[in-house]
Amino acid sequence: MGRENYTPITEKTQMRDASINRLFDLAKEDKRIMFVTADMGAPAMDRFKEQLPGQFRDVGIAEQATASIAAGMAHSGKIPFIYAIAPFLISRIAEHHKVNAGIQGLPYHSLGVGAGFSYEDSGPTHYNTEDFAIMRAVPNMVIYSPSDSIMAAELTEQACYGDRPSYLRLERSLLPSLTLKDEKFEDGVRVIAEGSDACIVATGIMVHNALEARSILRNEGINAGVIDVYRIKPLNEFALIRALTRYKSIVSAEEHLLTGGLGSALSEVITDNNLGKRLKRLGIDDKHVYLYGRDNIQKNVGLDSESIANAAMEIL
Amino acid sequence: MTIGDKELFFDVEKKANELRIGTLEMCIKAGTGHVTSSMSCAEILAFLYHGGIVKHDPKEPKWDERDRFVLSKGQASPILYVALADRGFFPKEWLGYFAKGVDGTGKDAPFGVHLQCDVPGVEFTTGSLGHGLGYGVGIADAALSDGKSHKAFVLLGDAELYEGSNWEAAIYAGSNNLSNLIAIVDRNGMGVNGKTEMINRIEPLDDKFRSFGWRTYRVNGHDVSALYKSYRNNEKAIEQGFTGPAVIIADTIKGRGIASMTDKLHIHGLAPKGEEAVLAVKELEEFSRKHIENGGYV
Repeated sequence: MGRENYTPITEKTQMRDASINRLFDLAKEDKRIMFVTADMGAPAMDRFKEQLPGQFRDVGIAEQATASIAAGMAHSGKIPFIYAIAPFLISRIAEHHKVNAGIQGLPYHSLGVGAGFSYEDSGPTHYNTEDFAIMRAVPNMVIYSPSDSIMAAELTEQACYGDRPSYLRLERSLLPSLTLKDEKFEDGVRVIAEGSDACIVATGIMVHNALEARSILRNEGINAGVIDVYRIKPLNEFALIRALTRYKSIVSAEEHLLTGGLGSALSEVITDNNLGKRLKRLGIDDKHVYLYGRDNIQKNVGLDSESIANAAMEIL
Repeated sequence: MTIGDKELFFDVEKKANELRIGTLEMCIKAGTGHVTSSMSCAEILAFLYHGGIVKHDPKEPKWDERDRFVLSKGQASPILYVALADRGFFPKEWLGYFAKGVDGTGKDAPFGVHLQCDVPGVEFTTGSLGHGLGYGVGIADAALSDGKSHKAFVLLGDAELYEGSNWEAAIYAGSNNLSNLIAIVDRNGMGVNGKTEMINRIEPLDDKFRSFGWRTYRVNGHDVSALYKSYRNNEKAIEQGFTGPAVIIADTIKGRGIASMTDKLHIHGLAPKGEEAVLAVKELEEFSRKHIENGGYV
């Protein structure tokens, strides 16, 4: 199928729909692709279910079995995508990923909806702020963290035809596109804006906050760059180091615990390669968040654009 | 029972005892391995692999049309390694690498104390319990959706059934007409800390599976004729149009064949050492001899 025939992605297409629509487009011609939900829905999923019933399964709210069944399918040559709210698909069944993906390398793919505080009205059970740490600790696992819907669709296709198990961390709110025409997503890292004084390294929705922070900093006479890390694992160290060469001061921003996420990965790169850069990691302290409303949460935990800008100014 | 069945059952039982002896010797040599967990499922494995139930080709372990056997109770790896070696999946000398991690030359030899999928003929790495039934469900589902005729066999431990993931998978299997899925429960009645019914009741096991939409058979798991009977009855049920998965609950004895290790607490996961090892071998040889003298199941 030619790319021109893919389901279009508009400014109103949510990440999960972009991702599922791309799977639908591929699955029409590739019977190996199976969509396995744990009683989670989406408008795009309804079309998949209706038109490709032979490739659609609903296990019910049973994430453990969902992962095992997908692993069994992958063992049989299928390309299964499992789908649920992210924390239930990742932290709840972490050991399944360890055994299925880490130990056996079975190529099934986890579509987790609800990056960070996406479920802003649902509270701490639905906040997904430990997933990077868990999945980074799973050998073989590829972790994607897209920052717009076009990218989400492209990374879904990449995951589908990669030979490794993967996790796609999908944002729930609509994010404006940052993707250029015909942009490829092979590097895992993209420079969104060049700068000279400081650099903000972000992922997912935080890339958008970083761009706002960049504007704030410009008004203060500071020229900050923005880097989008959309593949958390394997981290493209080479591309990251190259993109960071010109900066002495770096701020990382993620809707994730400070333990084990993007900032941790970045500090490992800086330390392991003796880069000698200043790094301020922004994320969640060692606690769960009991606040509601995305803006309110971000402001309180220090991940809104102003907090990011302030952090950049502090480490200059 | 047909003419020839008696010989078949006797041969399979004899093979089960050979697997027992091979397993015990391998574990004694390695100084580790779940001996008693292996002894309880000897007839089941001999029935599946030597009795013509699990379709396989030792020369082509990944043969597409093979049945997939999932040993969910991965602690019984010793007896599966021995069975696979006996079928010719790999040289019997390799059993000497059990629990060593490397062969004589220092190369990786993946014969783990818990089952490892790098061993020829092994489909999945298990050891962590509660994964195998889901794997079997995924295999059976994939086979049906591709119009393939192979089956998925899953051997479960009974104490493993405390894991909720099994019941998640059981609901799905029972609702999705997976008649190519056959689970066998090695119902030896023991957890690590004692009898399952003293830990927390899991009976009535047949009723539990039945209520999940499974056909259930309950047999003496050391009586090969009973294993065949249940399997053949299930085949007939499928021919008659029954859909859905089946489970054979095989009542067994932990440590079967080694009198000094039968139904004992505090030896789960242990291989006998020193005088105990000498005694265990003697008891098992005696058990096997009696079986032959008796002309069948004792």
